[in-house]
Amino acid sequence: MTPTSADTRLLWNEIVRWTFEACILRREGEEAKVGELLCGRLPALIQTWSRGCQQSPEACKQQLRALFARAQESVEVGYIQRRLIVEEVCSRLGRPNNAPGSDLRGPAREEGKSAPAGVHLRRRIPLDDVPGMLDALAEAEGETFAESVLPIRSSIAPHMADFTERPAAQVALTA
Amino acid sequence: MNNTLLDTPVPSTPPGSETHPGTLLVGLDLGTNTTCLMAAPQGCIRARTRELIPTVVGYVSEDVLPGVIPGDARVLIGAAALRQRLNAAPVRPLRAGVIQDLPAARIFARHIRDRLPSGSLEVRAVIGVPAGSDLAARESARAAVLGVFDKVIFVPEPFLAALGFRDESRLGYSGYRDPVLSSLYIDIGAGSTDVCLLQGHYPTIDEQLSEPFAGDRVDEMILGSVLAAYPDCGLTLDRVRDIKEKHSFVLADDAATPAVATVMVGGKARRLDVTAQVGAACEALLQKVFAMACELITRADSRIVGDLLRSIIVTGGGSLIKGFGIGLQTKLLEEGFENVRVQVLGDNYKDYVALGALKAAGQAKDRHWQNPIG
Repeated sequence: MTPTSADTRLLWNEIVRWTFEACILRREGEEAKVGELLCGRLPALIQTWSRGCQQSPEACKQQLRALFARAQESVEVGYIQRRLIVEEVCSRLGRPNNAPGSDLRGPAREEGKSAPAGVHLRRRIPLDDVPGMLDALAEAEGETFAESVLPIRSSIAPHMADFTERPAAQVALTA
Repeated sequence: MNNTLLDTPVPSTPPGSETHPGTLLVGLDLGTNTTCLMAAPQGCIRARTRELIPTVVGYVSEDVLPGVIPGDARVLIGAAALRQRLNAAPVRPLRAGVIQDLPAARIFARHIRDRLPSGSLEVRAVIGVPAGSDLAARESARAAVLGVFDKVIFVPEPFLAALGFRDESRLGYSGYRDPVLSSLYIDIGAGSTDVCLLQGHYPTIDEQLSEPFAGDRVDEMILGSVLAAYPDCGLTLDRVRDIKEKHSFVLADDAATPAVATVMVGGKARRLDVTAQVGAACEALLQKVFAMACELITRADSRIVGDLLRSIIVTGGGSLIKGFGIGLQTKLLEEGFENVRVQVLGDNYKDYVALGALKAAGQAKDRHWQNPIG
């Protein structure tokens, strides 16, 4: 069954949403979840959308490439913006300048209900490496703090909105 | 207590570390019931100071007559507060390892500072925090030590315990088994039970579990069931703690002694048999710990799980329940795990956390230290 135009709009918006989510998860080091999105959810959405979007395969590919590139860029910009804000806050509070790093655990944890809710390491640091452990903890605390100041998904939402399709009536009103 | 820990060398000032003459380093386990403190001048390879202080602040009642309290102090701290609990309302600054009464915590922190050797230009402290403490809890801890320590670092307690438990000076000995290469660490505190896998690295989030089911919950369970059986007995949580410390058990057949609580009702002593209530609460704790241990064992690297099963370490006040180690070992064996060995360290856990904190302080670089400014 071919999707209607309303369906394809919803499908496209889902593709946008999950593409941005995949970029955020990759930035957070959640490779398993990224894999699930890239190998499971997104291909199915893209296949259904491309069947009903009334564009040539090449145009579909171009649109998707643009989305992927823009999503990666937006997520990077979002993290940079957040880091700058947090650096400013940290300097005012007299805290170390804990810039977020890619090997950190953010505060959100969907599964593992009894896992501790505090500041945690993502990567493995040998017990001999006390300075490395302290660095990673400081970064993780900075990341947790940053997320509490400015959740990354909120800061990236406006970029995502640029890519989502709205109903025709809403587009006309906005124009 | 374990005085040999004072002799454990504290690796410090590795090549490239910054040294500051006149700096005193402190390792602190700020516990719900007891705080352990270790200190050494920077560059010193052994702890010079070690103290265990009950984490209690007592505010002396207005109606206490002069001369009753030594020095007519208005605030008592630690053991003095416990001794004078009838004259000084005891306040515990922490609950479940997290500061719940900031003014009391600040008084307590100041007392800790007063216990340290004087004459240091700067005092830097590494402070253990519960594995699950969030940002708000850390901010409270920062506020408590504001103006007490010049610089601080907060580190999760399981990390510090791992550091403290390892004896670096014996790593080269053929007979020394490095306990942090493959162990399951279980800490049963007052507010939470924390279990973590040690596999040669600091535990990641997937290698830790924490449940708010520990000594305090056991006390509440005992109190609730005793009050249900003897509604007018007037038992209090403090009294339940005393009873638990004397009579707690699992494996009733060979470890139980009758738990008889003497309570005062209408001025008359009344003896109550609370064996069943104490046993049921302790068994519930054992069951919880067993479930957590099983979950983490299944997450362990299959190459080391055999070694890990031979090195299950139970620490904290909850580990002092009679038969707990054997009980856990039996349950794990019954579950099908082979060659299980459970070792009970008892309350020395605090020393390991404080020693680990002191080791971390010795190896921290300037960039790690935070100014606890308000």
